[in-house]
Amino acid sequence: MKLNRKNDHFNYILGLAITTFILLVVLIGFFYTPYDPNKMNAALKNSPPSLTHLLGTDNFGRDILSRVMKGAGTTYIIAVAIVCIGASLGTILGAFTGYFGGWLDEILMRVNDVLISFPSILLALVFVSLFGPGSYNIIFALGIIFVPSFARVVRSEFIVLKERDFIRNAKLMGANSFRIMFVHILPNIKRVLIPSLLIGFNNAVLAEAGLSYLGLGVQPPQASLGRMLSEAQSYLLDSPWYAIAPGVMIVLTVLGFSLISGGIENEYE
Amino acid sequence: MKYTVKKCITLILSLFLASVLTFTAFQIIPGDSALNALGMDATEEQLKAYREHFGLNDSLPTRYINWLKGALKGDFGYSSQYQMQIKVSTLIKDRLTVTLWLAGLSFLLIVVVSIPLGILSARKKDSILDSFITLVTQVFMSVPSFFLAMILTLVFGILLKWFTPGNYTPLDENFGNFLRFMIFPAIAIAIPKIAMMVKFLKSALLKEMSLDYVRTAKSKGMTNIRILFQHVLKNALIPVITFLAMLLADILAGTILVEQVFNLPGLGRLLVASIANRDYAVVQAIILYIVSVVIIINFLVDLIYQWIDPRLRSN
Repeated sequence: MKLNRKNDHFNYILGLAITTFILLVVLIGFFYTPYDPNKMNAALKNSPPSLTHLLGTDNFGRDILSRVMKGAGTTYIIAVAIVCIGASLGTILGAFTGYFGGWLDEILMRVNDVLISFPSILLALVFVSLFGPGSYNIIFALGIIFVPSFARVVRSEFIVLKERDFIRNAKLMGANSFRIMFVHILPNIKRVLIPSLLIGFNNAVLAEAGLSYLGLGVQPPQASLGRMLSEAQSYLLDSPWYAIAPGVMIVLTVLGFSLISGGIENEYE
Repeated sequence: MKYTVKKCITLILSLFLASVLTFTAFQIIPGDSALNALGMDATEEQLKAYREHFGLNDSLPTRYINWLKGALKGDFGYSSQYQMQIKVSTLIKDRLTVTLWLAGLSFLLIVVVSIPLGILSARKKDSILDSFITLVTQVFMSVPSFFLAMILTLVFGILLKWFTPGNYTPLDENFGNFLRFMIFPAIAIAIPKIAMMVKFLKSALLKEMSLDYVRTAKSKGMTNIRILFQHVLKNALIPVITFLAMLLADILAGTILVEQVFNLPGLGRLLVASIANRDYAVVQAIILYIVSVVIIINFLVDLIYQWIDPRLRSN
C-alpha cells in the first residue's frame, strides 16, 4: 500500500507540473507570441523546427509555436465556457432534484439517463446540423450536453448529505432550504465536484478538438488545437511537425488535468 | 418474465420517442427545403411541384407518419447532396458495412487486449509492472483517437510503409487488403478505450477482492488464482458489461472522427459531409440509426444483467 501512496502522490505532482507548464505557455500566449500567429510568409513554407521557428512553420509559413500558443488559448476559453454552463446549470439542477426529490426528480433523472448514454460528440453534431457551425454554437451545444453529467454527480451527493446531522441542525435553527442547499451542502461536495470539473474540462477540450477537426467548430483563420490538426492533416507527408505540435498540446492538457483530478480523489479517500 | 416484458415496452417507447425527436428537431430549421434542393433559380411551378411530390404541404403529424412508415421499411427518401438521384437508404447501406467492420474490429481489440492486461494489473498490484501499466494507460487515455489516427498514418503509413494512406480497398474487392487497411483505424479507436478499460477493470477487480467472501475463500486455503477465476471475475462481470456497453456507444462516436482521418467511406464521413451540405434527409436517417443502435444496446445489456445476476430476477 505504501508504494501505491507514493505513486499516487508522484502522479499528482507530475500532473501539477505538466498543467503549470501548459497554463504558463497559454497565459504568455495571450500577451506575447514570438510571431504574429496569422502572418503568412511564402518564403518559409513548411520549414522544419529550427532556432528561429522552434516548432517549424505551416503550409502558409506561419509560425507553429505562436499558433499553438494562441490556438490552445482559444481551445481553453471555449472549454472553460462549456464547463461554466454545464457545471452551473448541472449543479442547480442536481441540487434541487437531490434535495427535494419527487416526480420532477424522477422525470429529470430519466431524461438524464437517456442523454448520458449518447456520446457527446454525436449530440453536438445534431446540434451543429440544426444551428450551424461556429465557436459560439459549439459552446452552447456542449454546455447543455454537459449538464446531465454534473447534475448526476451533484444530485447523488445531495441525497446523501441532506440526511446528515449538521443539516438537520441547520434546519432546526430555522435555515431555509435555499440556504441549506447552497451554504451548507454545496461546500461539502467539493471533494467530488472539483475532480468532475477537471474531467469536464478535459472532455470539453477533446470535444472542441474533435468538432473543430471536422470543420464544424472554430472557423479559419482563427487557430484552435482541433482546427490546426485538421489543417495539418494534408501536410502529414511534408511537415509532420505541424500535426504533432497541437496534438501533443492536447495530450499534455488532458493528461495533466486527469492526473490532478486523480490525485485530489485519492487525497480525500 | 415480467421484467423482460417491461423492458420490451420501454424499448419500444424509447425508439418511438427517439424517432419523434429526430423528426421534429429537423423541422425547426429555418429555410425552405424545396428551395434548398432545387436551388435559387427554380421557378414557382417547380417549387410547387416539388412540395406536392414530397408532401411538404401536409401537416406535421401526417409528414411524421409518412416518414416513419418509410423509415420502418428502410426508406428515407432521396439525398439532396446527390441532386435527389440516389436513395438515402442506398447511401447508408454501402457505408454501414465499413462502419460496422470498423466498430467490430475495435471492440474485438479492446476486449482481447484489455481484459488480460486488467487482470494482470490487478494481480500484480503495487509492483513495478503495475505502475508502468498505470502510467501508460493514463497517457493513452489522454490521446484523442483522431490524433492517434494521424500518428499511426505517419508511422505505419508514411515512414514504415505498412499500408498506403488513403488507399482503401473495398471489402468485396479484396478481403485481405481491406482488413490490412482497416486494422489501423481500428487500433486508433481501440487504444484510448483499452486504456480506460484496463483502469476500470483493475479497480473493479480490486474492489471485489477486498470483500469478505474473498477472505473466507483464502482462509479456506484457496489459491489466489482460483479465487480470481472462480469467484471474483464472475462478480465483477456486471460493472464490466455496463462499461463495455458504454464503450460501444463511444466506439461509434470514435468512428465518426477516425473515418475522416483515414478517408474511409463509412457512416461517420457521410454524416459529416451531409451536415456540411445541409442534406437533412441523410442526417436524420443516420442520427435515427445511431440513436436506435445505442438504445438497443442498452436494452440488451439490461437483459444480460438479469440473465447473469439472479438477484435482479427476484425483484
